[in-house]
Amino acid sequence: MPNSDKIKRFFKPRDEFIEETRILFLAKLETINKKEKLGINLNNIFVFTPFWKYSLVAIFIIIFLSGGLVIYADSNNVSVNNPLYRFKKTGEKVRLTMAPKDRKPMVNHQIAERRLEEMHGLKNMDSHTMEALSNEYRNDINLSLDGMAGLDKERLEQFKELCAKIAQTMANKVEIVKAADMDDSISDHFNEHCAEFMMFPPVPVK
Amino acid sequence: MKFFNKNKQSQFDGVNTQFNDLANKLRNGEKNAGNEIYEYFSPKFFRFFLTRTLHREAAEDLTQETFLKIVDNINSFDEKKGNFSSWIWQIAKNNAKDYYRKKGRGEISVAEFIGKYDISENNSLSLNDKLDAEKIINSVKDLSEEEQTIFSLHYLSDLPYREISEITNKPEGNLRVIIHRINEKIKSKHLYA
Repeated sequence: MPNSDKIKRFFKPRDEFIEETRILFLAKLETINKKEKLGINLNNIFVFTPFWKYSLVAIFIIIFLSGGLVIYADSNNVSVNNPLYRFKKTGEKVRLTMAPKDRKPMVNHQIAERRLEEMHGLKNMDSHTMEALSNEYRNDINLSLDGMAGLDKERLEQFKELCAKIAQTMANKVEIVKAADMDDSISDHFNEHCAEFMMFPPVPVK
Repeated sequence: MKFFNKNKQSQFDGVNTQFNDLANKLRNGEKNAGNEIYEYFSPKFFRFFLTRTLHREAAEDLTQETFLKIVDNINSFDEKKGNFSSWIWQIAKNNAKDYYRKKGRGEISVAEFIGKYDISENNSLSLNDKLDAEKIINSVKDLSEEEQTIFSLHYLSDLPYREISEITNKPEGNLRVIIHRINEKIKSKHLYA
């Protein structure tokens, strides 16, 4: 039998190495420990039971379809009577949020134009719908006006024209929609942005 | 020198149960468990790798790598499939195999084997030590990969036959034959007391 003591003496590791590796090993253990703790929490949230699996698939399908409808409704500028009208407005909000800073006034301009166009179409509606939509349009237009600062010269001219159209349309609508009186804050807001450009008299204040 | 005693097998059964408990604690990231495992296995791994490579720096690298792999793979350990000690040795064995595949076995000098680290306490290497080192290199170098593994596990890590059998997937009877063969080979190199 070999003299194992003699052999073991040669096969002994350095003390420094043993200490260095111990530190490394325990440090690595520490990082896994953190991951493990996080993993436990994640597992609690994402327990992949069949219910969750199908729910996730359903959620993805819904998101995918909704996204498609939003893009379709927004790019085709569907009318207010279209069932996809709410999807169009969501699309506009998304576009406005995603647009770079210098493009935001243009997007606002486009939205205001769209609302104006829709306002013209209110005539054939019942008074309740007309009132609700008219108020909604005015809010939208005012919000868009807020976001139109910083337009270039050409755009500014278009904006003036738009303001004038809005003023005229809004004044007409106020007369048409007797029940929907424009409150002071909205008309003040409108006047603040548009008054200097208007070719038509400002919206009457109550 | 007595390498093996009658109680060793039962001692190792108890140790294995303890290791399985430690493995579960290690999975939960308990440092104390990690420390105990490290304390027990680090010198054994080092000796195992040094036997296989006959190169200190390579053995150190492989030992370090093995411990890091243990942490990375601890979640794959299943005590129903085998004990922790066998599992941990499999990682070491695979590491050694990978090393061989990449580097092969080169010619080893006494200096490389002993390294820049002096093995004697008074920091000097005697002529006798040099001669012994040469004998060891020649003995281990001439063993096959399988024999090196068994030599290391049996003589340097003092593992019982059953444990070595689990690690190497060889029946105990077969192991006894291989160890006898190793003894014969080493005898010819005068590595006896």
